[in-house]
Amino acid sequence: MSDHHVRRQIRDEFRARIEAAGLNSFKGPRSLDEIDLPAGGVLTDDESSQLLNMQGMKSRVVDVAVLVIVEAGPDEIEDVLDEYAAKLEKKLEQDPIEGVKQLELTSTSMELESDEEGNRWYGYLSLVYQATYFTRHGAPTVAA
Amino acid sequence: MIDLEAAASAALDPWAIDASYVGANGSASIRGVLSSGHQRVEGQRGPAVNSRRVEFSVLSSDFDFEPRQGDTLTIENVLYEVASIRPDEEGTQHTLVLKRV
Repeated sequence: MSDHHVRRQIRDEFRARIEAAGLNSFKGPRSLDEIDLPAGGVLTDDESSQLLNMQGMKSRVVDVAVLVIVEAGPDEIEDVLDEYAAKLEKKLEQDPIEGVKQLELTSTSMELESDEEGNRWYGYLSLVYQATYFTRHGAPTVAA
Repeated sequence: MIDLEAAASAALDPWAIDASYVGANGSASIRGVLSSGHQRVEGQRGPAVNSRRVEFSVLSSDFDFEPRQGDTLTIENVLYEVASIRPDEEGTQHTLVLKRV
């Protein structure tokens, strides 16, 4: 049984699946030059919760944002990002994540950026999932 | 007549630090000014990532060979790779854009 908050357990599992998709995983925040590309990181940002019964069972929905970063030539960078999106979505969605009752991809966005000289192109892909899990009152480390 | 090289040297010298340059065309001990800036990658959800630019400004006369992208530079025991090179218009200085190795 983990001592960590369920959100951390979710992030750890996401990072394992990021690596299984062929990316280096990083724990943010980071400077770009400290990251071995191609890479993916995870952040759990917004969460809402709702009390379900008088026994203290809570339903919690957390946004899990995955950021994929690649470096590639301008002609191929969008395709490279979508290749990693295909591998990552498959790894994240094929097998259930322990403790997560529902996992849904809610938004995807892509951004391209070059260095000042225009010699290098970096592609950023965000995949935002909503993960639903349950905990009991006073037990945030145990997914019910 | 203005001695541009002397002016450039005077401008860099107070803040210059030593570095060891190893390149495809040669090696040298050089002095330059190290600077870095951070720019947050905006518009993407997920962990915060800063695009950090590290630059090293050196006198062009410190090189008796042509510096090239991919050369390496050790500054204060940190190894960098030269990502790009920007000479100034007067030809007195080179700004090396670096990436930490």
